Amino acid sequence: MSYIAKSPWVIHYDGSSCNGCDIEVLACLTPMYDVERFGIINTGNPKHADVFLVTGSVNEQNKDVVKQIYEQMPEPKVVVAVGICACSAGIFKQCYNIMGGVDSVIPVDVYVPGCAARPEAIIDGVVKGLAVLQEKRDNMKKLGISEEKTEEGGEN
Amino acid sequence: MGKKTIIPFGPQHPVLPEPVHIDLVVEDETVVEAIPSIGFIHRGLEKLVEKRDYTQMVYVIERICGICSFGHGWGAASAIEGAMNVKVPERAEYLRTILHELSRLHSHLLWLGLLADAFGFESLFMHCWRIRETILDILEKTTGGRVIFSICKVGGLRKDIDNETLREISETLEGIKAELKDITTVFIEDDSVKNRLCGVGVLSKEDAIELCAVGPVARGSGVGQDMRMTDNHGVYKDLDFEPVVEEAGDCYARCKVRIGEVFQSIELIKKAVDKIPDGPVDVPVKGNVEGEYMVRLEQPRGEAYYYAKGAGTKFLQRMRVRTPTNMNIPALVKILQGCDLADVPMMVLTIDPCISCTER
Amino acid sequence: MGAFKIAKTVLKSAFKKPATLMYPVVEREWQERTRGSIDIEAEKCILCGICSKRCPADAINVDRKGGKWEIHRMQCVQCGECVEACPKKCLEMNPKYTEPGAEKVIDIVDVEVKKPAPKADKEDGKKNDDKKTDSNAVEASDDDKLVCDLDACVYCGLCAKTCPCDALEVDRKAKVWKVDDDACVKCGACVDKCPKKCLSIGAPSDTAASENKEAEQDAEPVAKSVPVVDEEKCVYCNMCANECPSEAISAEIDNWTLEEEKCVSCGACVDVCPADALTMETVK
Repeated sequence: MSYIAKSPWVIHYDGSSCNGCDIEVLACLTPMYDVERFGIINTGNPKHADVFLVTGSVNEQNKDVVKQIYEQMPEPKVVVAVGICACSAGIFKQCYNIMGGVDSVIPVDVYVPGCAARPEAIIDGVVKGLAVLQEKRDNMKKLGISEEKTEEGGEN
Repeated sequence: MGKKTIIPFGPQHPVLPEPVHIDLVVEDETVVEAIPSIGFIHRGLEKLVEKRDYTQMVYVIERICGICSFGHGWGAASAIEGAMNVKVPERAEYLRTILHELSRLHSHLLWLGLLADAFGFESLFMHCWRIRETILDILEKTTGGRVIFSICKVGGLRKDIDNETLREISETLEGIKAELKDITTVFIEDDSVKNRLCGVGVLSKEDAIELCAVGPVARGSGVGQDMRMTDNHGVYKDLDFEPVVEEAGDCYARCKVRIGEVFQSIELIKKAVDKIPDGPVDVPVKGNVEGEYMVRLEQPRGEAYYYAKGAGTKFLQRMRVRTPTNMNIPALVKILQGCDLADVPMMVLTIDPCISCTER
Repeated sequence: MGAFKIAKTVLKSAFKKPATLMYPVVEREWQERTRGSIDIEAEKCILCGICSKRCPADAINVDRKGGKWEIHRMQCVQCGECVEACPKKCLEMNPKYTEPGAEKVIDIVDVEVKKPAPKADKEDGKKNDDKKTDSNAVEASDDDKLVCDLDACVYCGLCAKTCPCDALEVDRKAKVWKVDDDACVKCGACVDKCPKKCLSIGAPSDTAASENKEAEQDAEPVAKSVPVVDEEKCVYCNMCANECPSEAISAEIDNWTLEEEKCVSCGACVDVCPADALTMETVK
């Protein structure tokens, strides 16, 4: 299966979410769904990560945090918006403190709907994200841009 | 006297799934002071009462927090029912109690897993969450959702759960008791775990009372207060409920309180399944909300209260929720003083913070 | 007190089957009540817009003039309010979730609402019995409004109880039947429920009336519900008999009787009984 060519590491950040999607993201790591089969590890360091999982919408206080984490991640990177609050602010759209979904501050590659998004949907979303990641990586190679992080093994 | 440095903790931290920012004033690896700064999750959803009518408001309040979601739905529905003088049938009260105890089970198992991850015992984290999946399967079978249940409505429940399913639930819980016993023995008796938990983060009984700590934080310090002892909600008066209290006040005591509550919840569910009467699960509700009402519930994290006020239209005038973590943050600031820097993630987790509840 | 207390669990899990579900290689089997996404049966939809009003997340938009029903998949919280509120039961909760994708999906469904034939038309071969002259009926304007044939109406109040928008007001004693045209969304739930078939959307046409009668004869008999008395609780106060719009109840001392053919299942007797002695039960 092509999506297990390289093992992507994931960083997860909670914008203004209710925690429902966050515990489903953590449930993906646990034995029942076990994304570690695909080599995915949850890291805390943005510079180690390929995939950025964002839950929850964006308000004035955390939009800078989301932007900073996104900017620190090295290319190529993929953003997956998990849950409808991240896609489009969901049921809180008319709240005074909410600016909107995550795509109002950073570009989003995959939208995963659900309230709360099921672990199966999150795995589907990450797999689609990996295809986008592979595309971006191929584009970078074509343009001759060297990757910012060195990879072990494989031709680069 | 060493040099003082300020280390920012959060909002993005691998051990805590939620964004909370604490400025730790540190002197040579010992935390001297902690200054919390919250507001990353504030959505302002209490103001949505102006745009959503009272039946839709229950869905909004339910999404304050995904971990204690059932309690919020129940509290909001109860407060509105009280304001409208609607009496819910008894079967609905029993079912709400059973679902609330299941919610408490899954919340405590989640916390035990995160605590194990915080002090480095990752395989214990995996085992706790693996057992928790059985409970989530039960919740999905009965309510339709794993995290957000959407089953409470003003007037009762949206769906009934038949008696045979309830008996299956009882048997499943009895079946996982043995596994739970093995896992919780690790927390209580293993030397390496006790090294990390005993004597750390002590909150004395006087401090707990003065800082208004609620829930397992207070019960771990000897304050025997639990909203389930009152007649305010649910059918706990029929189920012979006694709160679980420990005296030591450190992280180990709070861990023992929550483990005790896990086993107590299983017993409460079994008793409720035996006693549940037959009948309808909802009453039709029509009309507008007039008047005010307050309900207090025992959430897994402590006492929460829900206040609803209506002025005669289908839009409520005010819906106010006060959640337990709101009251436990001063206790957190107190126990952080004097602890080691390496223990900070565990201290933050020991009060079971639910920052999305605090900020709504 | 002990070291390596997790040994027992570790050894057990070394020899047991792994708990992993092997998704996505193995498809997940859904539970019956799982809330995944909303499906619509377009043939039954009448574009009344009640689902859109009840949705707490504003995810559904109904365009009555353009004939479109659309749902923003990335805003739907899968609560199921629309499924419960739909008067024609054309929405269903599907356990399968919406697939994640690169765009925010909006599903648009074209809905064609069949309107009743206008009054002038008379189709051949249709029975034309019972032409009701509507001298007492409420005036119908160009927009299709809800009208009631007040000659046939018994003011039982079932339409008001069924109305999902609280648009009807019925007073049995004063013999008043009123509709709030702004609140009414012409969903037709009252038309279906009326036991005397005196309601219709738009001016009742001959073909519409005869279609209704044909449908009644062809349709399977719907299970009727009638009041049943608990004789221990009944105090023979006669309030049920006084309330009954079709005079089907007789409540003499120790002798409470019901004439089932006259009963219109409106439930007025149940509401008024001071001793809670009556309940509605279905009869075959």
